[in-house]
Amino acid sequence: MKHPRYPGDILVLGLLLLPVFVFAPGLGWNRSDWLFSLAELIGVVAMSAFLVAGILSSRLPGIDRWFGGLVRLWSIHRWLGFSAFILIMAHVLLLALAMLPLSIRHSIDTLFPPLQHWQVWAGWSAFVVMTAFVAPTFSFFGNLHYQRWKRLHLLSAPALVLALIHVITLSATTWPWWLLAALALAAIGWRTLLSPRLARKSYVVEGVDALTRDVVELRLRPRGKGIRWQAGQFIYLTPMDPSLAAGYREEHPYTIASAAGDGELRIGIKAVGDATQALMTIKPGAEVRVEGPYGTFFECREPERKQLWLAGGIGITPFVAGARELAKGAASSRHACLFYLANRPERAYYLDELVEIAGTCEAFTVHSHYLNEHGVMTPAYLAQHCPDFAEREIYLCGPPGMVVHLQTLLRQEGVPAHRIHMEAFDFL
Amino acid sequence: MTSSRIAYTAFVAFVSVVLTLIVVYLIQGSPEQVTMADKASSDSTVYTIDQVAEHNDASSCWKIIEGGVYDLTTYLPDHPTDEETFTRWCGREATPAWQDKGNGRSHSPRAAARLENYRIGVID
Repeated sequence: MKHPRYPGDILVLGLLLLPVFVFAPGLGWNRSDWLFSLAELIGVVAMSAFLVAGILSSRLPGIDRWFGGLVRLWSIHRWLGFSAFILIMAHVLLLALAMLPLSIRHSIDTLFPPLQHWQVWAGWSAFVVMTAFVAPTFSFFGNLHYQRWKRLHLLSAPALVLALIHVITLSATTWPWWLLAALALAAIGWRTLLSPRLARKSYVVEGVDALTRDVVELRLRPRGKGIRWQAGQFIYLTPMDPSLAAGYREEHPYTIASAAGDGELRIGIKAVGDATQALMTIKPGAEVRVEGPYGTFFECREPERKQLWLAGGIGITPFVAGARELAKGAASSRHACLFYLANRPERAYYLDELVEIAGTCEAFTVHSHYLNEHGVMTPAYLAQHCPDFAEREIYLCGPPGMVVHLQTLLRQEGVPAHRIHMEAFDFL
Repeated sequence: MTSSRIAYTAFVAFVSVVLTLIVVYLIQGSPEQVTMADKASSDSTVYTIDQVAEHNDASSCWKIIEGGVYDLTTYLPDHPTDEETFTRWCGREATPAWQDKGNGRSHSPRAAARLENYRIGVID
């Protein structure tokens, strides 16, 4: 219960270790060979991690549930890419070290052999291309614009092909590489070529409700068959309106604010960049494409427990969906107490509607907390309005600073980590 | 330390080590000279095909590979294939087996680097 196991994790581990089990026994492990073999084995693990990271990039709706949601799936993808990058460098250095006892020339010859050993140069090319798209991911030279980063990340496909040439031409057995490569290239092909045409559903903007100067709620209606979602999930939205100042045909993730089963798909959007700023001005009748839904935010492991919702800024949207669901009586077993954290009353958008729902729905209460008025959130404030707060299943969504503060506060109050659920607010 | 900082630090360390290796190799000069000297001394020993042919089994296995003569007797236990695959090339020209392991591929850079340790001369 404390550390949930996801079936996807076992799948990832299996795919990751498959080449290791195939290749490790065939490597020489005697006293003269072991360091070279270790270098090769590390190369095998690096290649597996690179391929599995590619496989996970498919972003098929529904599959993310196997991994505890898309946010967690992306973090596994990122972790695998990070591991591959580090292990490739270890692979190269260990090869050089393994040859050093013979002479430094042997080390250099192993790393930089004559061109007739082009397989080694394919490996170097893969590493150079990989560095080009990994550098912005790990902010080597500062942060890059999201869309530019995304385009640069497409270099992962040629890097993968070059790395495959390297391993397939140097491996005695090749079937594990062909298997993983087929899956990875299919995933990348789906993500970049097919999904924009096949997975995105066409919607029309029915209405644009301005909540404050920089926050709007879009009301969308499907042109054909729309998506089915649950409260707390999110979608990738692609505006198809060329008159927008920015963000035309660019996809970005947004949390759904409407209850499951609503005829309209509603999303709350805050202007935080060019693309979101442009969406403030989108006109009814414009076409958008929707892919998803993703995420498992409200999936609770102890449904009998009452819930505590803590929201800040645009992080209120999943809770708006949850409250609207309660208002419809669709989630009758759920009891929730919402704290809406904002700097000042004008920044607590959606509050009027939430108070209205709380007035009609016994299972739902809402309390606002303003930083300018009350200072930072304290256990005393929580206990004053929700005495059993530490006993509840807790959901957090908001800016990183708020999430860290509340997480620390809750842990200090003895809430176990597995009862605190968070939605990343600034993931890609 | 975040993963970004670890990745950046590891990358800088990696580039530094590889560059150091290259620079040491280039400025040292002596290892190459020593190697060249070794090679020159071993190359000064010239063997005939008949001489090599006397070492044609596991007890003493010499091979001719790309003009060089190699005494691979002590390497035999470490070779990854079965003994017969290795010994059938003892005492004769083994370049074809060196350039095609049987699957159309040449031996690896690791094997090429290691082979040099067993060089005893050149063929006449």
